[in-house]
Amino acid sequence: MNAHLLVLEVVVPLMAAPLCMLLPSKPAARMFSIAVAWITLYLAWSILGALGATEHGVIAYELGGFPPPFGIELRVDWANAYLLLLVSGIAAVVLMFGPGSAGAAVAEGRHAFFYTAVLLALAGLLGITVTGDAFNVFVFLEVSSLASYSLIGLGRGARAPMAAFSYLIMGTIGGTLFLLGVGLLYQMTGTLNMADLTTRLPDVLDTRTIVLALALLIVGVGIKLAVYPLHQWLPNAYSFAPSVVSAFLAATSTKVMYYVLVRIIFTIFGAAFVFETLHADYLLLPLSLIAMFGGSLAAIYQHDLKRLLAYSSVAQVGYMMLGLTLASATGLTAGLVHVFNHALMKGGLFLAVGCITAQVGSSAMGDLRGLGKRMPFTCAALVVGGLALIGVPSTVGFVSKWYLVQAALEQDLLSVAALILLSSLLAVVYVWRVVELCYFSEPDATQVEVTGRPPVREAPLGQLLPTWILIGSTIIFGLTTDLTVGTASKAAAQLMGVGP
Amino acid sequence: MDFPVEVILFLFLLATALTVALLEDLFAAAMMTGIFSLLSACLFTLMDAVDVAFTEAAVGAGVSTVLFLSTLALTAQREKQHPFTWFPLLLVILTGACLVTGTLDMPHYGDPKAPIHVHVAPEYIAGAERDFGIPNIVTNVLASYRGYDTFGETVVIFTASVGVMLLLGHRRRRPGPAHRPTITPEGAARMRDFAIVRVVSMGVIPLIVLFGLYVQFHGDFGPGGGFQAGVIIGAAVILYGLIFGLSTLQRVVPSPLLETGIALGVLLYGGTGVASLLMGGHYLDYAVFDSDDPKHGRHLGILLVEGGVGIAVTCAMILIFYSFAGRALAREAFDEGGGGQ
Amino acid sequence: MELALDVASWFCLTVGAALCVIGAIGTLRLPDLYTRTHAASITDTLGAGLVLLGCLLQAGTPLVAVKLVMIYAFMLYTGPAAGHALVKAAYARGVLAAGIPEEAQEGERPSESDLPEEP
Repeated sequence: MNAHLLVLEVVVPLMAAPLCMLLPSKPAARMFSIAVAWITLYLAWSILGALGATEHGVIAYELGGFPPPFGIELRVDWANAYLLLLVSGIAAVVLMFGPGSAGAAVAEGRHAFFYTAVLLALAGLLGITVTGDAFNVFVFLEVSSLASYSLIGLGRGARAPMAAFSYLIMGTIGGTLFLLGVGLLYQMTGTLNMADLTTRLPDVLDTRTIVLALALLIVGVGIKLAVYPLHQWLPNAYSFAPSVVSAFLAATSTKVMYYVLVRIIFTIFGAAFVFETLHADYLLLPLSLIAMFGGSLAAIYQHDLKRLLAYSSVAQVGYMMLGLTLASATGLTAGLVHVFNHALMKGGLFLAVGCITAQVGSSAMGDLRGLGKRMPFTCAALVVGGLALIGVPSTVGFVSKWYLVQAALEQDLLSVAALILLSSLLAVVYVWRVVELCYFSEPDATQVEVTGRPPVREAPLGQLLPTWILIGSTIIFGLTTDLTVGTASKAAAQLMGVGP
Repeated sequence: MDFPVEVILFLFLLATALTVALLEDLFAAAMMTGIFSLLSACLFTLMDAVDVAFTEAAVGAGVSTVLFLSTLALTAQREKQHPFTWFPLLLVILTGACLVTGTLDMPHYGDPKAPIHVHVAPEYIAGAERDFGIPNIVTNVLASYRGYDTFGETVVIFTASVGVMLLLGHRRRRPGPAHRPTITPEGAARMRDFAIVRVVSMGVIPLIVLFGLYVQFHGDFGPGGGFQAGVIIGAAVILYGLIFGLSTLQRVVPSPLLETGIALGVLLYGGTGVASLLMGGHYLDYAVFDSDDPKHGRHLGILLVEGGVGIAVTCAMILIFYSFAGRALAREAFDEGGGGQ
Repeated sequence: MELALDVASWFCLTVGAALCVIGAIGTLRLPDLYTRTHAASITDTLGAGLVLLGCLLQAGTPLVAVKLVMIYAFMLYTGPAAGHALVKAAYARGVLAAGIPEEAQEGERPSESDLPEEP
């Protein structure tokens, strides 16, 4: 069992998906998928434990018993083990929330398909994370992408399928560029195995083909990661998708793509080539700074809570990219810590929005008026999540920004450090808008009468619980940073080649 | 020096692609994409990738053209006029220029010293005979060395059909004459009423299915395998549906049967891997199936996983066709073909 | 013998190719769908047939020869049926033939390019 942990982590959700489709009833499919997600979480936890017991912090698994580079190899070090824990954990919590508004969009008798799609998305993301083979990343990228497109298309209203379609087009372009990049790497080295690529690439690094391959891979992954200015699909996709889906994808999909980018740059090509020879930081650093400000500024002017959170995600991706671009152990630690932390807060916030849309029927900013009294727990979750987004001490946001500022100061980039703090002020503005509406505005009297809905009540416990698990952990991991910073710094050291 | 036929085909391909981009008549554009796929299939054949050519011809030229047409039956037939903008064109040209520049340092096409031919390929070629006894190296690599990828690809197809069913499947809210398609049912040809078409297709469909089965089970020796067989059989069934009407077809192969089939296909593939785990090997290590003769065990494993792929792909093709053709009035038009049941 | 075979196969290939070109010109130049289909059918039957016959003379092994014969048999079987279906469908939709007064033709006037699905 222990020897096969890596493959089980992917195969369990992958096999569970078709099984789930065959289940006869809605509750059965739901309980089944929750159970599967918790099993993957347990497996991920075991992998992390097993990794601690190894000498070099690497576990490898040969699929089909074929040694790499001939067969496909699964290879986990601290970076992927950390991501596995995050992705499976988020899935386990978010699935407990239930289908939310997606439930209404799925036709009667097809509810199992919703859970099948979620399991497929989960399996795809885990598959990307666990593999040590470049082409295998593409295969599982397809699985997770196709599942996410269909999940996003389930949102309310006619615009959801359109948002899913434009994400599909962008995502397919990204996937194709990624595939082209992998193809060029294969052409020049004759191998697809990442570890083998690392050893064989230095011989051909000075060719134009390899530079092109790197460019294609970065742009391809950049589209899926929503790096500024390739983020256009994200606001629509996240705001028209059902809230549960937004919570799941915002907390996992972009995070896994960030990991893929880190893997490409630091493991396959090497930071020295990317940042010292090609100076990719000249391009990526300004872009991440623009993302931090552009995303936050756009968030301030949104009229819909989900859209606001989506634009804030664009800004947060900027912070992660900044950590990567600094190309130091501290910077990478900051980036990876922020991956984890942002997943917790955005996941929790989108779930809170899910509670609101389930009760109020919309997530428009205007409908938040005076909601603090009627949905106290949900609104409190919004506030705590918002504080974490700003980076208030004792929340996870503070931890990420602390390391990010440190990384900037390490390289004497005072201006960058100042900009990080300045952009947090923008977060204060958009979070305050939400707080003000919830607690300091009276509901529009006419609106209540016109809609004729039953009076708004607090969300049911089944929805509040997962929301508060995520929001609560933004506080817990803000106070105890052993797991997040500890693992992330080990991963960063490994990626920078310093050794664990 | 003989003028390579690839060049001509590539020029045709380019011309077709430009035509598709420029055409405003979507019906014609859909037909052109079929031609595009056919040309690609020819190119793949010339590159000795017959397996890929099979799939491209059946899916690209066959099934996806049918899906395009089913969609066009629901939407407008002409493209909306958009003001011309320079930026996308510039972006495309720039990307193309980058790609061309990148290829300059690549090893020449067919160069025997290229890295792809000297690193892993020799082991694949030697291993096919030594460890597997399977003459078709391509099938062998796909099902064994990279069997996990192939499992992933099967799941991709499964995911696609789950997505299509989730989004299109059964949201039949307005089956009435709420929106008229541009292809009106009154004028629609009733393929079933044409004796010649009926008789010819009755003769051809069993042959296509037989050929599909040949491709499935002969995949170890000649070009073929589960994907190719699946799309060929799927295309044959879809052809039946086009001629005899969707409702007739749905009585022959009901949707729930296909849904179960596609899930079972994926489970068969994954289950083969789990079985090898339980028998003490690594995931998808078929050698453990027969401890006395690993070659025999591997044959068995490959047969099972290819079977899983074949079942899943066939069902997925037909299900996707159902979802598209079953929408609103397209269904009506198809049903008219079925003689008004 | 060898030479005779070569000459014969070259003859077949050239004539077959020429017929394909003629079919293509006809498809472009003829006035309406029905006559164009007629031109296209030349490529399908005689053009492809002669090219295949030319290849057959060069086949060498019986297996290849049998395959070529079967390809031709398949084309003879399906090609005309497809053409028939196309023309029937067009006729059912009221696509008019050129050169004949409209009143003399059955069916209603169709809009351009509104063809139904090809099987």
